[in-house]
Amino acid sequence: MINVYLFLIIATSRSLFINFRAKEYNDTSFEEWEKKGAAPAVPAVLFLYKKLVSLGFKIVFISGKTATLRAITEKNLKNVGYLTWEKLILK
Amino acid sequence: MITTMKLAVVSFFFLATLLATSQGISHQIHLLKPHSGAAGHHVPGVSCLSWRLAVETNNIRGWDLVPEACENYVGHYMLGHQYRKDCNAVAYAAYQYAKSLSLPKDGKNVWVFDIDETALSNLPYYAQPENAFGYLNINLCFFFFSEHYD
Repeated sequence: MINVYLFLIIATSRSLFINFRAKEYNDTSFEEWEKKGAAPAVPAVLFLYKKLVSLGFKIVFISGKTATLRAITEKNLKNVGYLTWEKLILK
Repeated sequence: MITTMKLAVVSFFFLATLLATSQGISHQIHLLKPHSGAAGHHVPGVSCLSWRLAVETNNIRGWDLVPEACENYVGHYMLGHQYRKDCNAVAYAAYQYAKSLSLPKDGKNVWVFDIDETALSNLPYYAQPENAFGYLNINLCFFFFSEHYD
């Protein structure tokens, strides 16, 4: 028996962003950005993550990113301070 | 003439607020249709704060684009202190919630995080001039995310 708590934060902001100037939104350039693995952490979420780890929670990351970005995503997460997780689920 | 009247009204509100504050009255005046964005810039036509509130509460659904008049407002919001504070408030509430749960300490409790715009931010990408609000200094967002949360 595993207790799972699904927690999605700042989803609205994400939809704001994705739709922000959708005319100019460019999949190719976004992929290039993703491949850099240079995304910073959202400080509040990193804070929450650390607290949850110390409370004994196992962490699962879920993303709509494609599986080809697994290695770079793992590296990116570790670089900004998400050091451990149970599972990383990609598309 | 209209401009002058508007100015007079604004001055009146300012004066009223000043008076209210100086007399220690705690209630605030909340404008239903604010005339400025997060950074105090004038936003013509659309009340962007009202629009954002309606989107965030899921009362406006299925929209495709940020209203053109609100692009600057959204840019200022995302790069400004308010977005950061909003994130902090939600994260803190989530932490309080997690602490309040009586869970068995069997190592079988899982917390699921989304990645994009949750664990990680793509703000530097969206802040690039060719993608969105290029009129703002891009260094702003690096400053924004390089600070430590405490």
